[in-house]
Amino acid sequence: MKGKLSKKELNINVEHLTRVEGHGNIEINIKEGKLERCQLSIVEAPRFFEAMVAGRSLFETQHITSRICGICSTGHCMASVKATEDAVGFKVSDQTKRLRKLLLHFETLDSHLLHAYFLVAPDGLGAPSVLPLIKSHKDVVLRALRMKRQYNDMCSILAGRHTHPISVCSRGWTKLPTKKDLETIKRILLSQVDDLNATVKIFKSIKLPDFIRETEYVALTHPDEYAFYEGEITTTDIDGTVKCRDYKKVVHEFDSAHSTAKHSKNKRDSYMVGALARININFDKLNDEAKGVAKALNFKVPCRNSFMNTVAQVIEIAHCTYDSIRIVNYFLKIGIKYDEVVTSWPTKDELPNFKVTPGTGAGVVEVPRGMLVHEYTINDKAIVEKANCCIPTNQNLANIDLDMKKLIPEVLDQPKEKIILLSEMLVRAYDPCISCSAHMLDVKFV
Amino acid sequence: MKKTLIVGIGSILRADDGVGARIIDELKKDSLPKNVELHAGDISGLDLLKYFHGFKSIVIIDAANMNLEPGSVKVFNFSEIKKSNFNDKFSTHGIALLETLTLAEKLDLGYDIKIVGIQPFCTDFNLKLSTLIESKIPAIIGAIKKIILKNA
Repeated sequence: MKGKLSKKELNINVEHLTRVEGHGNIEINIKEGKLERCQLSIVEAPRFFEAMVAGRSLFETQHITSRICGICSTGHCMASVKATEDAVGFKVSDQTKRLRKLLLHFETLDSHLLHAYFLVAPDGLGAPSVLPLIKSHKDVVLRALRMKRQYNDMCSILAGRHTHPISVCSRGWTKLPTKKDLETIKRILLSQVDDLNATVKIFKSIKLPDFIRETEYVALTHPDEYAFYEGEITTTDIDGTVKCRDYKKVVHEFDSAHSTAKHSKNKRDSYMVGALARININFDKLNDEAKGVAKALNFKVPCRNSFMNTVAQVIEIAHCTYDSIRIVNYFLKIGIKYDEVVTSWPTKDELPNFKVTPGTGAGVVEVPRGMLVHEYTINDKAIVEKANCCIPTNQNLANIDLDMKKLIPEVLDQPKEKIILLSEMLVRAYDPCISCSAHMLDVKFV
Repeated sequence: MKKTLIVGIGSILRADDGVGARIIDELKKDSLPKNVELHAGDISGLDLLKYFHGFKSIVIIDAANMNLEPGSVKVFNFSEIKKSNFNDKFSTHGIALLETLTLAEKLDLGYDIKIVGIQPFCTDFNLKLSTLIESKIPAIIGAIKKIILKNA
């Protein structure tokens, strides 16, 4: 019977869903055979970072906004420096860009690994958390911790510390890696090949639910590379690309009654960003090693199963590892130009003639959870007057809700515990970072 | 001689919560044995584990609610406290000290972990420690030096 569900009554309320970043509740309510409510509610308090940046100098925004997240701090830092540079017209060198790409890879590796091993693998291996895995799969947990430590070490070498980078700033880098630093990074990366292969093997053994829902995928794209740091915005529903400054032509934010975080849509009622969106859009730009991992994991594009976002992340782990080796080899061959070092603020010598052309600019980068936008308006005193940040998890929230609305009726013949687990696994697949996503809500009182 | 790592944890923005970091600053002024390394900061969670690598003895200094009189200082082994079961709160943002140490213990990596807990008086927003906790600093340093001597 159309519209009638196999369960007449069902009430699920998962408060403070575990193994996601931050606080969110899953609410599912079926009454008299009709799905009345099915949503992820965001209950975390907004944090007003955009307001904190307003009134501050463009030379310090990256240090403030990187604090939005302890996991994506590099991503926020990159979006921030790119937005300041775009707003006032600073140009950066090819070396600066390549090193930023390298650092961004390290963060993507760290975050994807954490999500795949600590937050998703327990579901696939039938454990309630990573702790019981220590007994059954000690080598897996030790490998995850070892890989994480190595990613952190490489971040520290390049950026001064493993979270909240110090040496990345508007105009360039305040410290450039020595030849020895690059050799150490290369040694670490090469030592990871075995762990990477073992990672692919374990995710080959994890069976994720079959689920398909057509949606729009949004990501940066670049003609010459798999876009993380630079490119233009595109989606699976449009032809061509949209310039980063015109991000509002794609990212249409709206308030939702059940969430302290904004939702987004474009051509449909929702869209998805993140590893799955990137791979669906840019698969042909992955390096051969990552394509090999995709084949080994039986991953084909277009993939419309949101649960497969974790598999897409594992493919990106391979891409970022081998692309990092390529970047390091490039610098070991041609050397680093140390005369490109800049100071984070203009020096005393620079100041008398230092002019800032006021303007508005956007910095768009692909961070682990998807496309991140920072947009600043900066005046001629180098002060940020207005800021806007579009966080990937916000952009995914509407898509998570619609996925749940399709998934729940399909699995209603299963026991309640299994329905809860599947809905939790679905939300976790997006790797939502709820702490970051709750921002700047216009509160209206009745 | 065992290699010892002393880690001070807590936010210096929250008055006595920052006592761990403050103790590390004080210890830095002293001449300590070469096998002792200090680390301070607002670190907790999984990232803390990375610092343990290569050490045998680990001393964690942290403000702790032990239901004792404010200013009480207690040195205890990690095995003496109730462990986290992890299942109720596990995000990688939310892995707190208890979860991290439980993970370290379960992995059986051979660390000897001691905790120096300090019962805070005030954890409101303040860059300074409360007068009460400030007055306990010499006693806390004394307790830590005893552990260092034992390991020497």
